[in-house]
Amino acid sequence: MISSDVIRGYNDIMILYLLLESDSYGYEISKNIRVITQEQYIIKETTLYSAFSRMEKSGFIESYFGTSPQGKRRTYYKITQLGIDWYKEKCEEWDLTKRVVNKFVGR
Amino acid sequence: METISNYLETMFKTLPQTAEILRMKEELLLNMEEKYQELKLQGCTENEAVGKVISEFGNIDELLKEMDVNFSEDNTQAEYPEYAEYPEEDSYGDMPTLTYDDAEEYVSRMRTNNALASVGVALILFGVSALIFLSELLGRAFLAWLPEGIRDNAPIICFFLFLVPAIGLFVFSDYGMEKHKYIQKRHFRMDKQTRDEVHQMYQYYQQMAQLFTVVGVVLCVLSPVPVIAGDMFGDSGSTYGVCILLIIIAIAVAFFINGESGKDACKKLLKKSKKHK
Repeated sequence: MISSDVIRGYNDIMILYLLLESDSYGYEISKNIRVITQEQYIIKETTLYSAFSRMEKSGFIESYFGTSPQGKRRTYYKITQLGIDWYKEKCEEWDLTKRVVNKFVGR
Repeated sequence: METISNYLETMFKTLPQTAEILRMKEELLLNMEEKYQELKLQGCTENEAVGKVISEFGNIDELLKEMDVNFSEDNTQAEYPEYAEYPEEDSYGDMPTLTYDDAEEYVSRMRTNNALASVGVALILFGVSALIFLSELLGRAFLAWLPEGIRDNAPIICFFLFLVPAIGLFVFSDYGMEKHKYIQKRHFRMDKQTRDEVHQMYQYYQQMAQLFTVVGVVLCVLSPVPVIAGDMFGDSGSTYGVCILLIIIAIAVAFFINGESGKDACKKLLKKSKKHK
């Protein structure tokens, strides 16, 4: 399992990637991250919600209320145009990071 | 499942009950409960499910950093040791949150009111000064043509002419405080940013208080000079000297009062009580 220190800074990419597909809520996002990474990365609750909070303040995502199957109020998140731009930027950044680090890997 | 909500309660116990935080807690609980339900469906035992959910909770400080609130006691102690015994977390529930604008308004109201009171004090001292001055003047057959009744009573009448507006100012200096009563009673809370801003304001007024105190002390030290100087011109001269001394003292007192008022107001806001040094 990946440590949260290493992946910090790329949680935003994962969340935005999932929101690009469709609006979603906390648990669904954390579950999808777990499934997609085949349990190699499990996002902590507090990491997820601090990312929501930060990205909402930056205008990358918007929240609205919906209802869970049990009838409880649930917060859904939706990506904004600003968020889409940010996502693309982060992807390019990761691409570069990957290429740079790769030059030093595998001796 | 009880365990999960108890765990969250414990995590959030020391935090202020703002709408944002309560909403966050509710969201987290829902999220964790869903995770728990699903783990149970996958065949985990109660203990396994609860353990997994709690182990995947993370660190609450990570969350607080994003929310601009940091009320954990350790932090308060580190940054502001002088009022470490505040805040009283248990009583946060129904306290209004103070904004920087509220704080600024309170400080400026306190300063205005103190200025009014200091003018009142000055007027009384001016009155006493005038009383002595006129008594001396009229006692020495000045304006001898005036009827004796007027000559006897003029000084005291003059004194009252100063006293009446002074009393008016004292009464008026309490004006507008009703609104800020909850601050006087320290019944409010402040977020960290506001607190830092007020702390800056406090430092500014602290410097001002020092400066004003120095000026006041210098004036007090110099105040007997007119009396000594007047003494060289006889008894009457030293009496006039006393009149000037009173006026200088009045100005010095105004410096003392006005110098402290901004600082005291900030102190109240920072819940720094006098007994804590």
